[in-house]
Amino acid sequence: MAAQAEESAPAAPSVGDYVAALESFIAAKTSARAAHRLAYLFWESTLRCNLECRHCGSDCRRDASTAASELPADRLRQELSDIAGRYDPSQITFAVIGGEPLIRRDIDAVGAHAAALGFAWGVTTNAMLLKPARLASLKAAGLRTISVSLDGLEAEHDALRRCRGAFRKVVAAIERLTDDPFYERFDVICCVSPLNVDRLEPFTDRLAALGVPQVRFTPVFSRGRADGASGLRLSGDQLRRLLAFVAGQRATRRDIVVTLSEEGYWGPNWECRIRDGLHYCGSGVGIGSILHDGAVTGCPSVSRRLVEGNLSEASFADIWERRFSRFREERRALAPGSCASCRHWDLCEGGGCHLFDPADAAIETCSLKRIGEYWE
Amino acid sequence: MDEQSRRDFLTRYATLALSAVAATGVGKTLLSQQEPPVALYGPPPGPVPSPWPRPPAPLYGPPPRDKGPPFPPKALYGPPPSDRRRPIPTPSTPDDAG
Repeated sequence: MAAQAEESAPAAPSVGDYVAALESFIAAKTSARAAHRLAYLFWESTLRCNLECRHCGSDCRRDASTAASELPADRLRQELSDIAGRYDPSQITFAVIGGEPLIRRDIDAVGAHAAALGFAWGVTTNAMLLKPARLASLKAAGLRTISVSLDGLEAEHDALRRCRGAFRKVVAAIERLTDDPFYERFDVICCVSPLNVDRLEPFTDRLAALGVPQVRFTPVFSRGRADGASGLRLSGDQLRRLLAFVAGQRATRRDIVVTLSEEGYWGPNWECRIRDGLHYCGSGVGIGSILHDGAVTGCPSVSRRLVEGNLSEASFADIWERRFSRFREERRALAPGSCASCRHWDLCEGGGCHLFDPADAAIETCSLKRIGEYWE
Repeated sequence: MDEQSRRDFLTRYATLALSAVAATGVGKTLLSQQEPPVALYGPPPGPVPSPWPRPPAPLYGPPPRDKGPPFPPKALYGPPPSDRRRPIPTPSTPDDAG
């Protein structure tokens, strides 16, 4: 059978094929910058959280000190209506995140409004509040896509989340989700740190056994509490182990889709083996965000110094159309100085806007250098 | 970087990428497992048509998955983008769901 299959196999791609595809990819990115078609709209609904995780990039806390600055639900509904009048909402995913978004009861009504307008809406949650009644409410509100944060098996997750019992609550929520797959897409996001990097295989096995369709691994990067002194960033060797793990799982597993997030550009040895395609950061190009206080930026993971405006002064669509040149034509000026003459730029573009202006300016953000695979 | 240097860089990149895949031995593993041919050999080689082309999938890599929209946004920490393969559900009580 193997011999028959081999005979019918297509020819391997040539170097010329691959170069042509890379050229097309670069050209497509240029076109996307010019068109800046909004495809994914974040709403950072709150900075409040029911956990105080060691690695929180938003530095969220359990207290309510930021509640007064949160955008009211009615303001969001108004903004969504305006966006739906200017763009095709059926082509836009509206993603509600936090903090912990389920702390706010009114996000369900905002989501329902988004769904009624034609947006596909979703939520990223730590799942601590994803109990049957709330899940029913989200379902009634037309929730279509959901990500649950789970950072390893019980010991690792509870340690990172600084909450004993958190893992069991999340697993219970996952079981509810897999029991009633009313949504369109569901995955688990796992932040990878030295605490869990060597326990990813049994973790992935557990997710597969739970019926989770996809897991997305994200190496912790320097933002918020996860600065260079946190000890939560992976070493070069640990990063290479993570990449090898993801590539190996993708090549052999059929029970769960394993992928790496867009945290960095990893070069020819890894790109396309760790994700479905090449690295691409769409922040400010196809991805926009409304932060908890009405600030508008690319994605919520970028530095707050990259805010492009605020809903108090203009609509999201106006800001999206008139500003954002730093994310589009002028992105290279934002990147670290070492990117200025780097030959990888067309494919890397600084490895993602969230890596510009890290919490600790002394740390290395070039992924290739971190894993010792940089070349000119 | 002049045009020739850029082409040289992309050629080196492509050569390294193809070598990296060939060196993994994944194909041999899958052959021994007698996976169906589509899983064994991946999608046909060559650039994927515009508007959002991807490089050829790695040799012996998993088959491509239906991603729906041609420009899949990739957002850190956001929920997966909708694939729009299913009809848009209508909320039962749009203003009272919360």
